[in-house]
Amino acid sequence: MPLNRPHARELQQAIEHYRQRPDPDPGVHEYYGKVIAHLEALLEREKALAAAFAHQEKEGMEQLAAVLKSSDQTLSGLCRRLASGNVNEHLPAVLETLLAVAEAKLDIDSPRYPRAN
Amino acid sequence: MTVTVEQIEQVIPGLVEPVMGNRCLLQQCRRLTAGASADTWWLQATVGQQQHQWILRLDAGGEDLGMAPGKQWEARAQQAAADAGCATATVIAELGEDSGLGCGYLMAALPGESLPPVLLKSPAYDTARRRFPDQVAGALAAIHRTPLTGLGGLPVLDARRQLEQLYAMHRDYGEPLPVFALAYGWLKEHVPDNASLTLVHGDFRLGNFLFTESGLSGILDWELTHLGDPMEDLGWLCVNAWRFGRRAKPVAGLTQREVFHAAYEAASGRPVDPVHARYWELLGTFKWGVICQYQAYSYLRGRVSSVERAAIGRRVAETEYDMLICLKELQDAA
Repeated sequence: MPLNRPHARELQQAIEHYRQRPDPDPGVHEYYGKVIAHLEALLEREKALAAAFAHQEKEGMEQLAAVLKSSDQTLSGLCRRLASGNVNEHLPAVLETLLAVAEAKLDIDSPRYPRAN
Repeated sequence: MTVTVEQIEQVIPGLVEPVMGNRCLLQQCRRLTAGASADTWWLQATVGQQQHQWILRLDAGGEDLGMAPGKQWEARAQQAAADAGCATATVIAELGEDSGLGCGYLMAALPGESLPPVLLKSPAYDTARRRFPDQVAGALAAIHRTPLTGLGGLPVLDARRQLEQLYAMHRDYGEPLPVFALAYGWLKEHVPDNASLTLVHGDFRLGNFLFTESGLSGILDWELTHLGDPMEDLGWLCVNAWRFGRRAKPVAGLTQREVFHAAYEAASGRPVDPVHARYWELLGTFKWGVICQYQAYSYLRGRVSSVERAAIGRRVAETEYDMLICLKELQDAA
C-alpha cells in the first residue's frame, strides 16, 4: 500500500512545468497557485514522514500476508488474493491492518481530511 | 470540435424556429464551461415577443470514462425524466452530428445556485436545506419511475458490469493497491441479487442540484445517465466526497440516510434496503477512486498537461480510507 502516484519527483515536475508556462488568466493562475501551495505542503510532509510511512507500510503488508496466510507476499500477490474475494473470515483483521496504513498515508496526503469517529 | 459564437449564432435560430414556430433572434451567447466531456454555453434570445434563456450543451469530444451515453441520449433521458415529474430543464432541441455544432442539445436555463459550499453554509438557503430531503427524494423517485420506452439507446450498467469495467481501468494503471483489490473482491461477492432496472441519473449528488432560496429548481448534469439499479443513485449521493467535509451527515453533508430513505420511500413507494444502498455507496467510493486515478494518469501519460490533474492522484488516499470505513460499517451492519 505504497504512496500513490504521482510520486514526489513527478509532482515536482508538474509544478515546474506549470511555472514555465503559467496560465495567462489571472483568476486561473491564482487557482493554480493554490493547487501548487497545497502540493508543496504535501511534499514537505512527505519528506518528513516518508521513512516512517515506508516502515509502517512494510510491517502492515507483512501482517496482511500473515492474516491471509498468503504464500505470495509481494504487493501484487496480496492484491490478487484480496481481489479473489473469500476473505470474509479475515475481514476484521484485514480492515484493521489496512486502516492503520491508510491513516498514515492520509497524514502525508491529506492530514485535514475528516476521519470517522 | 471548437465552437465559436458565430457558429452558434448561425445554427441555433434555424433549429429553434421550427420548434417554437416563431422568429428567433440570439442576443447574447457566453461560454460557461469548457469541460473535458461537455462544452456548455448560456444563450439569451427573443422568440417572437418573448425573451428566453437557454443552456447549450455540446459534446466536447474529449475524455470519456466509457460510461457516457452520448449527448443525444443524455437529452432524451433528461426530457423523459422531466415528463415523469423530475425537476429538471426542458429540452428544446437536439443537435445531431451534422448540426454544424456537433452533437448536443439546447435546454431551458433554470434559476438557482449549485455550488456546494454556498448551499451548505449560506443562511439564505436555510429553507432550501430544510426542504432538501423531500424535494430531492421526490425528484429521484420521478427519475426512477420514468418509463423506459424510447430510452433503448442508454447503456445498461448494472453493478457487475460497472465493477468489472472500473477494476479493469484500475489494473491498467499498474499500481497494485490492496484497498482497491479488497473492495473489488468484496463487491464482486456481494452483488445484490434483487436489483430492479430503472433510469439512473448516474451523477446524483450535491453539485448537480440547482437550488433557489425556496428550494430545488432542477437536477443538472445527466451525462452519466444509464439504465441500472436505482439504489446506485442513493449510494452515490452518500459517497463521502459529496459530503464536502461533513462526514457525520452522509446524505450530501445535509442529513442522515434514514431521513432521506424515508422521504424516498414515501415519494416512490419503493422500499430501501439500507445494506443494498450501502453496497452502492462502497461501489461509488470505489468508482470515485478510479476516477481520481483516471485523472492523475491523464497527466502521467501525457494526455492532459495539468498540475491540478497531477494533484488529484494524491487524493486517491482519501478514497482508500473511505472504502475501508464503508466496508467496516457494512461489516458492523451485517
